[in-house]
Amino acid sequence: MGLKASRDSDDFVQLMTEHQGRLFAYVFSLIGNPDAANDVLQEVNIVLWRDSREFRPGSNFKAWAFRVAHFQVMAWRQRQIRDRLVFEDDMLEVLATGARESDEMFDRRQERLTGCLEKLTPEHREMIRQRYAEGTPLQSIASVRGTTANAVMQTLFRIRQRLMSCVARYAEGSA
Amino acid sequence: MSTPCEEIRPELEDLLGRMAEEQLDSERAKRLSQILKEHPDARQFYFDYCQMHALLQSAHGVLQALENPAIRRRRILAGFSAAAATLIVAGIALLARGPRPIDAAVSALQGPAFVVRDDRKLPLADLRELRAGDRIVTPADATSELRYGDGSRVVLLEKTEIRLRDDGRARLELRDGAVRCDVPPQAPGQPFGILTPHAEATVLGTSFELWASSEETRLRTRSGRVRLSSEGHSVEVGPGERGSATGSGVVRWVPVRDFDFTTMTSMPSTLETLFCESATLVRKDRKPEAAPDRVRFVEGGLTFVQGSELHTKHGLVVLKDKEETGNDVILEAVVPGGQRWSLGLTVSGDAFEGYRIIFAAMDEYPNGVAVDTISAFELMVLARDPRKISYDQDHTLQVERRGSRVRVWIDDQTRIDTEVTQPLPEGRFRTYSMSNFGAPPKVKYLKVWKPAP
Repeated sequence: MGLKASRDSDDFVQLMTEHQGRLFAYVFSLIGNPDAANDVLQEVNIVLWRDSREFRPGSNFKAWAFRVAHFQVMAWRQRQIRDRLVFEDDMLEVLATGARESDEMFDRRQERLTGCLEKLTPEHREMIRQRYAEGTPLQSIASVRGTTANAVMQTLFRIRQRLMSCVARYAEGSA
Repeated sequence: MSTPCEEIRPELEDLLGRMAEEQLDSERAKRLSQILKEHPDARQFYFDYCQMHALLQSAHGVLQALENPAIRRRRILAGFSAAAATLIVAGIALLARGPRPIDAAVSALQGPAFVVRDDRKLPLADLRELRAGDRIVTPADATSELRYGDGSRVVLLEKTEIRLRDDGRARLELRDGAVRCDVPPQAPGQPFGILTPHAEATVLGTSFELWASSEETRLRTRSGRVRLSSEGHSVEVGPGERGSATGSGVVRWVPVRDFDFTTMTSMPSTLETLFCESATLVRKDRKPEAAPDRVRFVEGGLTFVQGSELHTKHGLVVLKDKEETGNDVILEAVVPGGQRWSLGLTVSGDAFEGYRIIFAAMDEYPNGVAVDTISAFELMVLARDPRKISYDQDHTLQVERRGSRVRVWIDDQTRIDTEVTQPLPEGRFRTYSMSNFGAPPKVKYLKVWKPAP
């Protein structure tokens, strides 16, 4: 039996909401540009919403959503000027396969993230919060801290790297 | 977690740091692609890194909940010197505020527009208040209108996404699509600002339209003035003017022609009509000749006269400007619906020497848009968009040439975006023109812009 015809099905919205993070990770891996990845994710959401009646509860939502995402990435690439793309066509399948494999660890890493964030220094935690929760521009963070945007960019990279190690230790260890 | 080999590790770290912050230029992007192609271990690190960025981006609630405001305040106060006290107070006020209702409401709604708030998607029609941080999306066939407390009106056209803001810099971010705005005069020092991926529009009181995509921001001002800023450069776009901003700069387009053919009874002195019969059109001995009787005014606009009407030969009728407008130009023509039509708009030369953009709203000829040229005495089609043009409604046709790029829109929908490399004659007269092509059009208006010096 398919979903109810009404498009505002709570179950479907719930599924879409739960998959936003991993869909973004997948699209971002294929595009290499966070802003464009956000745009494509919106298009993916619109297609998923539009075609929600095609989805059968109990079937693999993730596989369907990733397939839609893949097509939307391809469509986005066709609209771009070629030399502005980060990756060439021959890389796309390699990246798609790798991103899907990497997604297998998504849930476990997500579960561990809160604990890993708590292990950061207060200063680093605040920087991550400003950047991701508030969307504060690099330059603004740098101004308040009396440093340069480049230095903040490097610090953010180190923090992400630390978090990657942290969630991997726990997640892979308990796999 | 995988670790990339030491050989490329520092470079990869720099590239990925930049990538997450949108600081990856094309040269670095190519290098990243090359590294990922050649180093499987770097690839795994890349996937882990993308995933972490995604995890943090979707951990909005977790990040906000990590500390309560009282603890946050103590830590901030302990961590900074007294000399920075004013900054800290400002920071605390900002943190304590959080997303709050903004002084605006949805005043009109059509179609399934929705809001993304706290990672949840909600129908726009169900919202009782709008908050800073809300992302409003109008999909295809949807529009919505917001009214602010100061009387400002923002219409979101279809396929548009905005994010509401409530700070000193901007009221909203236009992330994709187009908005039409009417903004009453703003208090000094408190302009109505709109951010886009490439630019910032600062408004003091005006009516304008703003389009944004991942690669460009375009502005059209109806009245008043809007400052468009990008990458440290800015232009003031006045009434009737246009602005465009990309990663490589910002351009102001000034109007040079504004013809309202619906009210005319005689041809403006700046225009002239030429004719060349079909048999010699692509021959080197073609000789276009003056043909004022091939174009005439009818009720509701200007039209091209068919050869059969005059009991004479068929051929290309060209209405061109007698003055040069340069290579870079924007043309906009409005054609009424009701019957089949076709129209050529030419840039960088007249229809004999420039790039022709053929709009064909017909049945018997391939319906759609094409870019071609007959400058080399043969018909060379350079780009095509086969999507049909309906002839049961009015259409606004737009063509822009900037550098080697030609873009074509119908009713603000991009139909062709192409690089043109086919050379044109060096000694040509750099103007624009309209021309016939099969079923004659009725043209209501024609407007022309060129870049400000």
